Amino acid sequence: MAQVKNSKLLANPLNLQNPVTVQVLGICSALAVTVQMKPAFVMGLSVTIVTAFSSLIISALRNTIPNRIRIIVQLVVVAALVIIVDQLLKAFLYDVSKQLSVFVGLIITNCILMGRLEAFAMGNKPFPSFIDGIGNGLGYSIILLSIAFVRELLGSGSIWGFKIIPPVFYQLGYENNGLMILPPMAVILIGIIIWIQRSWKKELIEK
Amino acid sequence: MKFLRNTLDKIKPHVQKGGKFQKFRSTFDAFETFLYVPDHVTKSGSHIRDGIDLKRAMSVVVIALMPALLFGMWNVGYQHFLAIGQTAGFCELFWYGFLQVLPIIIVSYVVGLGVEFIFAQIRGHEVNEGFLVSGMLIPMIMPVDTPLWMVAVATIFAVIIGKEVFGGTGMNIFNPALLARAFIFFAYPSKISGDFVWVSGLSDSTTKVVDGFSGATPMGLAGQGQFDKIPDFWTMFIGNIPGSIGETSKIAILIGAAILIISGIGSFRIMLSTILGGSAMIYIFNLFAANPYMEISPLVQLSMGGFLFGAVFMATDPVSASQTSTGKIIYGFLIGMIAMLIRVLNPAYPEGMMLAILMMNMFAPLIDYYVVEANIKRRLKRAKLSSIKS
Amino acid sequence: MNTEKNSYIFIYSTIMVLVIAAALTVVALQLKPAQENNIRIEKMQNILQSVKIPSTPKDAETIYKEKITETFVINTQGNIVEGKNAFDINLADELKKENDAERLFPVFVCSPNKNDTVKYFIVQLRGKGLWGPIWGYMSFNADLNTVYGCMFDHKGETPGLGAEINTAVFQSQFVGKKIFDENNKFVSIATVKGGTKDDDPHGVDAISGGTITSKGLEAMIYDCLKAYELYLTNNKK
Repeated sequence: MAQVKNSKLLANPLNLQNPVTVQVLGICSALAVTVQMKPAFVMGLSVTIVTAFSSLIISALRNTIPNRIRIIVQLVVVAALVIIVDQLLKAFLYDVSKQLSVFVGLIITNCILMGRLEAFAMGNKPFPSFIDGIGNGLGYSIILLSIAFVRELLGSGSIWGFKIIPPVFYQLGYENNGLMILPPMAVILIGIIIWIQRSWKKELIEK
Repeated sequence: MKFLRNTLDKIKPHVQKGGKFQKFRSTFDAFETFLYVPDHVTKSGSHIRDGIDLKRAMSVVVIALMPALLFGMWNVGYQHFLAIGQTAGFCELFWYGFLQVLPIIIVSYVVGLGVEFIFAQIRGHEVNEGFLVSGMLIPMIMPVDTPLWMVAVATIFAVIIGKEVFGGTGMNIFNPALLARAFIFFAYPSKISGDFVWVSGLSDSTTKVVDGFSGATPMGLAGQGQFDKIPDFWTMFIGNIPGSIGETSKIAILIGAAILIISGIGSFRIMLSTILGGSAMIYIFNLFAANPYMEISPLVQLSMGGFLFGAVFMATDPVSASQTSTGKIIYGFLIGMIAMLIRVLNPAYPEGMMLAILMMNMFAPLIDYYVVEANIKRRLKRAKLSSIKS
Repeated sequence: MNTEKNSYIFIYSTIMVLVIAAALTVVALQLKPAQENNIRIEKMQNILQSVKIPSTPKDAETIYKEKITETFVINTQGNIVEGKNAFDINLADELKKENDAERLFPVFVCSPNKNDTVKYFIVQLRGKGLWGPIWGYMSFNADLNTVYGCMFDHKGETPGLGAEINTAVFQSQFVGKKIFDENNKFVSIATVKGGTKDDDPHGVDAISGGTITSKGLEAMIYDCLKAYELYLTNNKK
């Protein structure tokens, strides 16, 4: 693989190579944890940390890993990191970890992780792999946060847990949109984000 | 009339390609074809085509909806005055209902057509007339007390997510009007369920309600287990019961059904098989009769809620229904069965018709696919057999 | 080195598993006290909420120790069972026991002010909503009849309908309601569809459109208080 600049590794996944909207990976957690911004942020952070460090570890070990069991090795590394993150959340961010429930554990099955490990970390030096992991984690987080922003604002009338829609609105008959709290709306929002992104970056439109 | 034609002809050159206002071509087109028979001709090969175009078909559906709508307006007034314990003459009742329902219709049309026009301008295609019917259906399946801004939001959602993202009229997978209702149902559940939203003025706490008056719909009563309070068949058949604006009168709906069937616009196969499917499911429930809900007789069960309205006006939507004749029968039958299944067995959703139709909308292409495949196979077999004989 | 040899793969995986197992064990052991503490604190906050004492995760433990002066465990015969810690009773497990007589229920006594003798008795509730479990705590005045406060929560009721049970607006309705009628008969508190009469001491407004959750809540209150009934009748003033 040709050498790519580290800055590109960081910036590409944010837009043109976005893991969620372009590669359409990691959708299930994007639906489940985006009801509010805080859990979405913590989820994005967890995924970024796990992707970055598993990429670093796998890349450092890449020459010693036997090819026949490489997927298992990757899985074990990812699983171990996910368990550590999960345990840390339970100990220090209990209320958020309650909201995230099983979805932190399910980071193990997040396709973004395995995809980056197989496609990048197995063939690149540790530092670029680390950067690539962070980039993809951030790309995922951005989408999660934008969905969570809309869902929390319209679904609960708040941002980051703070009520921002003035009570006057409610007296005038405004109501929070219950559909925003349900997962189907997250699918529709992802669809709309993909729609917007593709009308903006025409090169992403498939022929 | 001559004047209208002349004006249109005068404007025409300006909005055609190269003209000053070519951006508004689609808008102009929409008005012209609405008023006059379009001058388009088929460009390639020869086709046998019916003289009726989409706009005419839509107009017939809107006419078929009129009896239910007019009855709905009267019923809105009737229920309101019943609730506050006053009596009023026929005209007064109708006028009250008319004033309650008209704003919903206006909002639905203005917002829906607005979105359609904007998309048509951006994409440079013709304005589609599909919204003519949806715009009338949306108010008819709403509770009368639905806030207007919710109707507007739901309409925008239905037109954009239900239609435009799939490519506009004729491409949609789901029935847009039902999508608008589903949107309100899940987004603002307190405005479309419970006992207070079905009768005008009841959700306003300042309204003084007569003792003993309950705004609960028959479906609501059944959902709460108050089976003894469900009105008898004839009351529900005539339709002076609380409910969504257009769904209450079964007579008015059947008149609409007759118009649709006679003019050949609505598929009688779908209507009939939906009702048959529903009845089949009710008979199965009657056999088990595990709870009072399962024991309700088919006639009563069929005349409750929006089942009939859905069967006649929603399931028959030619775009989202199955296209093949056999497919239509399977499609309708399953709608009927699933609607009853949701209604009786799922306590969270008092009425299952909306969800049943939306779900079968999704499966309609699949049903068609297998019907066509089966047809091809059968014919192949026949072809082989005959070739062996000769 | 040939990384495709069987012996290499074998040794590699063994070492990997050992290293990771060791690392995870250390992490889990280190964090366990903090995690268990979080669960305890959440329970304390819930209990305090039912007697209308606000708390944050930071100060919950101090407030709890200060205000909850007495706890004990009772059985369905209304007798106090010695040697059990009320705080450690898991109501979900207790309700699963087949024999009613074996079930144990916790009682927490709260004295909000040090100076006077005002006391509130807190009982624990657990039941089924529409989609999953619902639970809560209910506190009574010293007469063991009038509700002082309550808290309910749920796992996943319908947002906007059943989920309303965890709102302050809904819960405040219970305050001042009575669970025994004039003849000292246990009647519990019902959720009334379409609204209650103003002076009904045994009913609250059900959630419009949230019928199943309201009914589930009513059943939860009835069933759990029924288990406390003998204790409450024996000790009420």
